[in-house]
Amino acid sequence: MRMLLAAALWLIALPSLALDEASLRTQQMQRLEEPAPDFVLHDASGTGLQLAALRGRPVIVHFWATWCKPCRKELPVIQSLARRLADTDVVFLAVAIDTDVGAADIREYAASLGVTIPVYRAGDGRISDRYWSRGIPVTYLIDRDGAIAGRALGPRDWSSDSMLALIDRFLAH
Amino acid sequence: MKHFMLALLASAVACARVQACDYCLIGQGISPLQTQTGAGLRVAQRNTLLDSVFAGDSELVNPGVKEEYWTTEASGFYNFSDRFLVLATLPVRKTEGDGELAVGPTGDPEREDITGGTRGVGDLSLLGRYTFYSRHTLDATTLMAGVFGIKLPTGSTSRRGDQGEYLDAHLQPGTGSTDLLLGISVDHALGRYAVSANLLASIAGKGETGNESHQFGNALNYDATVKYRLRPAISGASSNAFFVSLGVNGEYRDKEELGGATLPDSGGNTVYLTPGLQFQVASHWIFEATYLHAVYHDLNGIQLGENYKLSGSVTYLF
Repeated sequence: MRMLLAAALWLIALPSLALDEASLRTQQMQRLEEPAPDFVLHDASGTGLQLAALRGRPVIVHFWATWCKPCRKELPVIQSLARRLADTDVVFLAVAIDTDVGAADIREYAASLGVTIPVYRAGDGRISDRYWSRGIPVTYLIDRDGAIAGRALGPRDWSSDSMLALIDRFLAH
Repeated sequence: MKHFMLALLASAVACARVQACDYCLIGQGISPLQTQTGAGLRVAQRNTLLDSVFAGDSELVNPGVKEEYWTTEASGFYNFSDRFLVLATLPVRKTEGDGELAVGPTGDPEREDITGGTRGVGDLSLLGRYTFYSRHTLDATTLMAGVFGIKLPTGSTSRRGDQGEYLDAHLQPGTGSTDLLLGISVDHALGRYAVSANLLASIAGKGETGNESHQFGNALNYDATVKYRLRPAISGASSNAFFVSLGVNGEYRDKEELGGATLPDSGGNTVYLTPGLQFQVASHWIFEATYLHAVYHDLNGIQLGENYKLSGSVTYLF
């Protein structure tokens, strides 16, 4: 009986924890019907980072470019979100899709915007351009199981109360 | 029925008398119905010149009859959510008729010297669109929506021509009838391509033209359009964007009734090939131009038909 009660409570609580469609719609985000394709990115020292190795932790991947004007505004807000969530286990990755700008210049550009989260250049790794084929800036919320729980196509205000509530749900799931 | 099925299967229909169907183009080509968020205002201008005579799918010699229509259409739309959009459209029509088509004793088309035209507010259309299916992958989005609405008889149907007679129903600003609108819409975006397909049926009510009862035939509008983003290669790279489009669209319409009698020279199909351009400027402004080239007519009896229509619009997104 106690187990049944616990199961019922869990079922009731589940929708409030998961990123349900209604929550996503408030931010005009979509849940994707496929798992996040694996990728490998290299940092300045050449050390590789594989998405699959982050399984078990929530990941927020933000795709941007130095020539993208909306990205210039959004990157610092993403950075603020990362600072706010510093005591959680979420992993932030900022991936620049520039093809004609070097990795050092990209990191310098990001630093000039106050960005301290890890910045990668897509060309320095193995990553499908399907991630940004619908446009940039684009941000993915990849859950602990490697599923794409949400996609924000275009810039968002990651500091708004409604967005922070959505992120809380994402992290709690 | 055979024609109806062919129209559905071929995704191509026709429009013998599109001038009476100002809401028809709402679901065709580049459309505000494709917007998923926010609100907007749109002003569109269309020009239609009917100066060809058709019997079935054969073109006959025109005895010197023509009709021309200019429609300025104001639309407002609002997305209550990414699933539900409402749209209201009010046209202002200017029409001009030079001669009226008649069938002579030999069965050939003849001109009757009835001329005239008018200008006035047309019929208000109210539409809702509910997206009942959406599927998103990394590089593709598929949406399916139902469209429903009503066209109200807000336009005048009692304007008179140069000779003092009531103008033909097609030359009146309104149709005089309340019509139900039902449709379905499918959109699929893949990378730089977007494909949209729409079917919009209108179930015509009874109206009045001058002092006679008149009923336009039920109609089925259809459209299949491919849109390609020329610039920028990656969406978001610029706040400006340039698209080209190519569509096949048209209308199938049943015969009309006048004074309770079915008009044999009414209704039919016209199919258009529709290239178009679209500019999105600074995220708020959308400029569009489309050219509808009639590639196939199959009109009942003997009727005037058009060779092309031109359409341009400006949309502001809030």
